[in-house]
Amino acid sequence: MAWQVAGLLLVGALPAVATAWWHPRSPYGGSAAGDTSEASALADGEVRLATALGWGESVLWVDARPSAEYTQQRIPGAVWLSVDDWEAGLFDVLERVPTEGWVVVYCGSQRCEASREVAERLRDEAGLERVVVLHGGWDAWKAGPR
Amino acid sequence: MNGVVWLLRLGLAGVFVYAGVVKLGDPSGFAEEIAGYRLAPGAVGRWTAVYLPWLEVVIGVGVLLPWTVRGAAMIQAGLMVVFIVALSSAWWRGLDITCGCFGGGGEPADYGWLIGRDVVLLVGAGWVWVGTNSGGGAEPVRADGRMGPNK
Repeated sequence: MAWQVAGLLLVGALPAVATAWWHPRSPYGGSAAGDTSEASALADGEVRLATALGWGESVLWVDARPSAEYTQQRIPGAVWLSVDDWEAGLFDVLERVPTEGWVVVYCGSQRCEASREVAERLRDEAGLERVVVLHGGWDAWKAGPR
Repeated sequence: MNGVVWLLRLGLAGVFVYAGVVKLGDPSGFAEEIAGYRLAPGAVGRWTAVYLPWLEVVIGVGVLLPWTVRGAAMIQAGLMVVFIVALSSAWWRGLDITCGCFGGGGEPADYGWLIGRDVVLLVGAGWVWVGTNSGGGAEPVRADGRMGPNK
């Protein structure tokens, strides 16, 4: 029985390694992760990475991913803000909002909703007007501007 | 008894293979859903996101094969325990997450229903494990009908 369990676990691990390595949407930074998100159309209230980078210093990056991911790695200077722990991060954001710039919110990928939710609340509840969502999220950042 | 065990094996195979296949397409999205549980560090979550879908496919197929049925049922039962603990913990902490059980997106988790579903799967996998014990027919008898260990 033990060898059955070990064998099955191993058989599952082999394609998993291949997935981590080659899958275009691998969480380890797949080769085409940026391609798909960058190529897809911009939704309302979204901005492409290249555009946001063009704004230079007048951008406040807001990280809407889970705090563990933020702690591990983030866009330099980003402030963490989550809808689940709104008060905790809001003060930091409000304190650092650039007067003439933009707030750019991102979550993990194009699929996550957290950045859209955070951006909406920043507009509706905090009264900020220049708030946009990073198209492609963290995946796009990792892939770099295209 | 054997008929019931066979039906359970078919059911479990369908559920696990489906759950695995639908997650294979977007490991990155699945990693995010795992992160939503706030249980494991990012590195563990990422590895789980690439490994778990394949494991589900493997044990889904494995539960149908005579020489791996018991091992597959045991892993399935173990996974269900892990899922039940993870869901209960998220429920306890009041997290508003999506399950991630069958691929991306979807509704916010209805914890009672999800945990109930996993308990049913746990019981099914346990039943298969018990029902295929020696005498249950699956493991000691090879496909060619002769007795002996399957290699």
